[in-house]
This record gives sequence, C-alpha cells and structure tokens, in this order.
Amino acid sequence: MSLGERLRKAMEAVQNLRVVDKDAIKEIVKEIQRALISADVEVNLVLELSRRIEREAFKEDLPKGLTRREHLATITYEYLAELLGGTPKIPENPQRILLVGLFGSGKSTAIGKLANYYKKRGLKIGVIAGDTFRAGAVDQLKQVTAKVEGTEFFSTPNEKNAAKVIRAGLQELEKKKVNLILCDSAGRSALDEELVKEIKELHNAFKPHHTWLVLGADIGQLAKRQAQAFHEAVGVNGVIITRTDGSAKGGGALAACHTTNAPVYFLGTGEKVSDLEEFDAPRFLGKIMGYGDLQSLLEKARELEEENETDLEEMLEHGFNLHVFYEQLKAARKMGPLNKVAEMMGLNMQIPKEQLEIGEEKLDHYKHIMDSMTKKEKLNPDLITRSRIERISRGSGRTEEEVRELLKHYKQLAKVYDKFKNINLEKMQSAKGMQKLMQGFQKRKKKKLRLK
Amino acid sequence: MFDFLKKKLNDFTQRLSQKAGTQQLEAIKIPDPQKPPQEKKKGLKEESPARRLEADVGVAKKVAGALTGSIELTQKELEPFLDELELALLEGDVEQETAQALTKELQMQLAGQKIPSKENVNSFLKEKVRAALEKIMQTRQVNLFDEMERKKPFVILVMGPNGAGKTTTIAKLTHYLQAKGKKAILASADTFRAGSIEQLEVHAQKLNARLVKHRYGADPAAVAFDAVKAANAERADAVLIDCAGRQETNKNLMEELKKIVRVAKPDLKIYVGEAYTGQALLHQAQTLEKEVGIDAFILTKIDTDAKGGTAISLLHQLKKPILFVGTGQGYGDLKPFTPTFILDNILG
Repeated sequence: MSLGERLRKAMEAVQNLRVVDKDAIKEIVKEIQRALISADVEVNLVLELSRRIEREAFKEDLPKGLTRREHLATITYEYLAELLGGTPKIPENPQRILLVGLFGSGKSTAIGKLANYYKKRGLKIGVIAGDTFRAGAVDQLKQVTAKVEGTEFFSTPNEKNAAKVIRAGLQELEKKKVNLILCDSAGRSALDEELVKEIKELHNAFKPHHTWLVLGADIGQLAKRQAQAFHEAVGVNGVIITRTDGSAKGGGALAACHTTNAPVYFLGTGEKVSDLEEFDAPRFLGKIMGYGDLQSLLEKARELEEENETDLEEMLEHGFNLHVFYEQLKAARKMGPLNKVAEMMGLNMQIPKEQLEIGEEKLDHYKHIMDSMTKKEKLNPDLITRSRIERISRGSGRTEEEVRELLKHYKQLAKVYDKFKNINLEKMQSAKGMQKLMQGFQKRKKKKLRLK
Repeated sequence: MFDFLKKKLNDFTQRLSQKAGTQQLEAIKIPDPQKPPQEKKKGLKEESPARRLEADVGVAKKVAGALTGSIELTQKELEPFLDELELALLEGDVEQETAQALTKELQMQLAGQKIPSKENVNSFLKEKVRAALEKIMQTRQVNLFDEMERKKPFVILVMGPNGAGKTTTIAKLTHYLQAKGKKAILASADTFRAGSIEQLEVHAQKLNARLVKHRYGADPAAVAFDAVKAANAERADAVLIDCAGRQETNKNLMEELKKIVRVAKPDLKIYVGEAYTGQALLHQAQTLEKEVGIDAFILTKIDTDAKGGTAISLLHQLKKPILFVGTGQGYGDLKPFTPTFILDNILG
C-alpha cells in the first residue's frame, strides 16, 4: 500500500469512529505512524506528530461547530500539511540560482526544467556548467538546455576549476543581458570536507540569490543529515524534489525540508523538460491520499483548451460515447499518461491498472476499429451486437476479440467517467465527509489570514 | 556506513542485559506475592487477576532461575525493547517488513530462553543478534570470476533508477576487471539521457577500453547487440551494457528493458541502487525482479554516510547477493561486499 492509500485509510477510520476513545485513537495514530515511516519521513518527526494528535484528540474545549471526530480529522490533516511544508511562494524573479545536491539527484535535469519554467514566465535564461568533475556532465547540460530555445549556455572546456568557470560565465552572460542565471554544480556528499570546501568556493564565486537543494524522492532517513550539512555549508533556501514519478513519494525529502526550514518549490514529475510541478502541500496531500487534485487537472485542461485541442468541460456536458472515449484516450496521452490524469482526479485507486497503460499501437487499432463503425454505433455503443462486431472486425482488419476488448474497455471507462462527472459537477459529493472538512479547513485558513 | 545501526544495536543489547541483570537481583529478593514488581506493569491501566497470576508465576520462575544460575525473559518483558529496536531499525533505513522479521526472529531466539547468568549477558545477546541477522540475510553467493569462467564474452547488464550511478559503476567495473587481466567492451545503451554517451566515452578513453555507441534516440537493444557481436569478434572477456535509468512505474521503459534482455541475453543482470535510498528501493528492485529478473546488486554512494539498512532489507527480501559497494569517486572505489561485512561492521 502506498503512503496515500494508508493515510486515506487512517483518515477514513477517523471518520467512521463510533466512539472517540483512547484505544481507537492509539490504533489510528499507529497506522499513521506506519504510513509515514514507510514513506521515509524521519522517525522523530513522526513521533512528534503522533503526540500532538493524541493530545489534541482529547482536548476539552473544541472549536465551535465541530464534533470531536471532525476536529480530530481536521487537525490530523492540518498537521500533515504542516509537516509537508505548507504552500510556498515561488520566487518570480530569482536572478541567480545555484543548484546543489548529492550525486545523481537530478541537478542537470532540473536546470533544464527550471529554464523552461522561467522562460515561459518571460525571463531570458543563462546557464553555467559548474559541474567540471563528472564525465559527460557538460555535454549533458548543453543538450538539456538546447531543448529550451533561446537559453544561453556557458562552459569552459578543459577548465577543472569550477569557480573560474563561473566567474568567466557571469561576465559573459551579463553581456548577453540574461535575467536569470542558473548554475549547475557537481554532485557531492555534504559530509565530505573536501567537497564542502569546493562548494563554498563555488558559492562565493557565483553569489547566488537562491541556493536550492535537489533531492531524489526516494532518499531515505539520510535526507535530514545531508540537508542540514548542505544548509550549514552554503545556506539552502529552497528545495526541488525529483523523481516523484516513481513509487517513492518523497517523505524523507519533505521531512528534511521541514527541519531545515527551506520550502519545497518544485517537484520533478517525469523525464521531459516540462515535467516540473509547483509544490503545494495541501494539494500534494490531497493527491496522494486520493481525494483528487481537481485544481491542477483543470489547469492542465485549460492549457490544452488554449491550444484548441480538446475541450474537457464540453466533453463532460455531453454524455459519454465512443467518440468521447477515443478523444479521452488521445487527450490523456497529451496530458501525460492516463494514470497521472487519474491521479489528479483522485481516481487512481479505482481504475484497473491495465486501462491506464494503453499503448500507442493499441490506440491506432482502436481508431481503425472505430472507423469501421457507423455514426449511430459510435454514439450509442450498446447497439453493437454480435453480427455488428463481426462486420466491424472484417471492415477494420482487426480481430473480433479486439473489437470486444475495445467495447469492454469503453464500458469500464464509462463507469469511471460517470464518477468523474459526479465529482466535478456535484462538487465532490462522493467523498462527502472528508471533502467538506477539507473545504472547511481551507475556509478557516482563509479567515485566519483575513484576521491578520 | 553502518555506524548508526551499530550504535542502536549496541544500545539494545546493553539495555536488555541491564534489565536481565536487575531482574536477577530482584528475583533473589523474595517478592511480596500481593504486590508484584511495578515496572513491568507500565502501560497497563488495570490488572486483571489472570495477569497477576501470570506475573506471580513469572516471579516464581525467576526465583528458581536465580537459584539454578540462569534467567528467562518472557515475551512481555522483551516487547518494549523489541519495539524500540524496530523503530531504530526503521530509522536506519531498514524496510518495515525486514525490521519486523528481524525483531520477530530475535524474539524467537530470546523469549523463554534460559540465559546462563554467570556468562556475560551482553555477549550472549550479541550472539543472538548476529544469529538473527545472519538468518534473515542468507543468500546465494556469487563470485564474479567463477561466473565469468562459464562463458566468453560474459555479458553484464547494468540497470537501475535514474541517477543511481550506473555509468560510473560501469567504469569502476571495467577498471576492476582490467586489474585482473580481463578485457571488457562497453556498450552505451543509454541513448536517452542527455550527455550519457559522452560520459561513458570519457571513461572508455581514460580506461583505454573499447566503446560501442550509436546516436541518441537509437534503439538501446541494437547497441547492446552490436557490443556483444564486437566482443565476440575481438575475443573480449566481458561486455558491460549501460542502459538508461528508469522508474519502475514507467511501463514503456520496462518494456524497453525487456527488449534489451531478449536481444543481448545478459549472463548477469546487476541492479545498481543508492545505499541511501529509503523504503522505496525495495519496491523498485522487486518490480525489476518481477519484470526482467535481477541476479545481483551493487550499492553506490555509501561514502555519503548512508545508514546501510537498505542492504539488509535487500538481502532479506530479494535473497540476491550484493556484489560490490561504491565507496567514492575514483575508479578504484568499488569494494567487494559480503554479509559478513555487515555483521562485522554492525556488531564489531
């Protein structure tokens, strides 16, 4: 079970409590503990969190209008969000960013992604190849930045002293009038004296406004010590967590940030330069717990609409038919893999895995099959009988099994689609209790802000 | 790397032996049957008569033990210690199931055991911990050079998640083989990641090894195939195939990996992972084991003060040997690895 599923289960257990008593709370707290620890969240933090939950659970004066159960769910959610670092404000004009981190954490890849992100926001980007140690590092960075048009790339071949490269790079890029300079650095352990000395020199030469630590989502309990050591050496004031597309959810990295007070700004979510997501703890939490992240889905849908490719909301208004089914599959590939879409919809636990992994080839076959259907059949697939399947199979050159598979696939997705529709149109009625609470929590937060 | 776990296990044996010691003393004092010793009762709200009876029996047993010169620890007495140990193991990146397996094994070894009181209790406990660790870490041993006798060229595929250190490890392996007079050919089958071909090229040049490469975006399986062919022609001893890093959740990349395996037919599939990866490493490795099979592991970056629990969990859950650990940035920083290495480092 993943972190999200376990937390969700624990929260559901809170919702379903008949009586709030010591034993019940203990059981739930234990489950939350296990979930967090297996996601690499640092053990001391987990213990602290569970102590707070236990204390709050039996508080005498509850906030007005909340039952003890609701109070418990709210504070648990609140604490979890706080543990994961809240919602940071991403710097709009960072000027100079230095990326540091362990070996192979994804610094060079992150530079490409950052260049892409800030270029979209109207900045002219310069990149300095500050990793003069690792074989192939300069070539890698050059190829990565070439993917982001208009980026100025600077390196000094055969110069082994990174500080020298940086000084020369700063001069050169200043001439080219860039607004943001990104600097790469060699991977290192911050517990190694030699390497720390070097990063300090590098830091001095570059004088960054921002020094961001790049951590892999799969890092374990070591995260805290390394983060602290990097912080002591060069003053880390931001974090990027990479490889969140694997099964690791970044618990270790997230908790490490909590202890060094540096906010997580971005998550790396894939291998392309556009696979960079702004971090937002409540949203992240909602997503991994399966309560859906409609906001980012709609954002993404809107982006696609602008490109005039698919209109998700319009599709929602009309019923689900084979046309929509096909468009959906096609669109899903554009919006990233279908399972990412499902994750954003909070449905990832409800869709069979095979359906999310439809390949390019399959999609082509589906298209051929559908081309052999009549208009009527496409709008109302229930019409399709055995003899029609036979005809469609002959017409499309695909086997009857494949036609049936398409129909089965369609029916399964139609079910999911209904759920999605309900969630979207009826304001998440399906996950009533929890959703209400989360909304309530957000309202409360807003009120707090207003009071200030 | 194992400093952390070593300290925690030491704490465990020492505190437990202290506890055993105090119990011996207590047991010698004739206890008041109405009022059983307090400390064991922490955490219990109320005592049921049955529990008290049990406790009384326990005390009686201990008196007997003290007289015969041995002591017994009950399950209940062990529990808080084992719970604490489990947490310590988790803190050392030991994966949850493995931590549970280890504590359970220890419980089996200790509960109801007669501990000879004259003997040093601490060393007795240490012996038990060693036995428990040994038991959960049992795997088949692989000697690389024995394996290489089997076939020429010996094809090694190196795979793993992004940024684990595959390319660097290949360079180190080449150096290791060269030192034993073996000739290796490198295959740059990572045609995806920016700079990967140049990276391996630099290493090949420095190590004076032949490199087989195609362009970026080429079929990795084809690169691997060509390398094997070249090795056959040149009578090389080994082919080392470097492929792109991948997350186990990416179906297409797993298919690509399967294709490389189908085409290159590697004799040894090595999974390269970071020693400081947390609980996720096991999941990654298990998926790869299921999809393409793993023969052995290499753990990298242990010079970062990794806690080392990862190694224990890998051995326990996948029962595949760890061949080497990467200990630094030089070519020579690749050290052979055996479970005894863990045992000696943890129990010292």
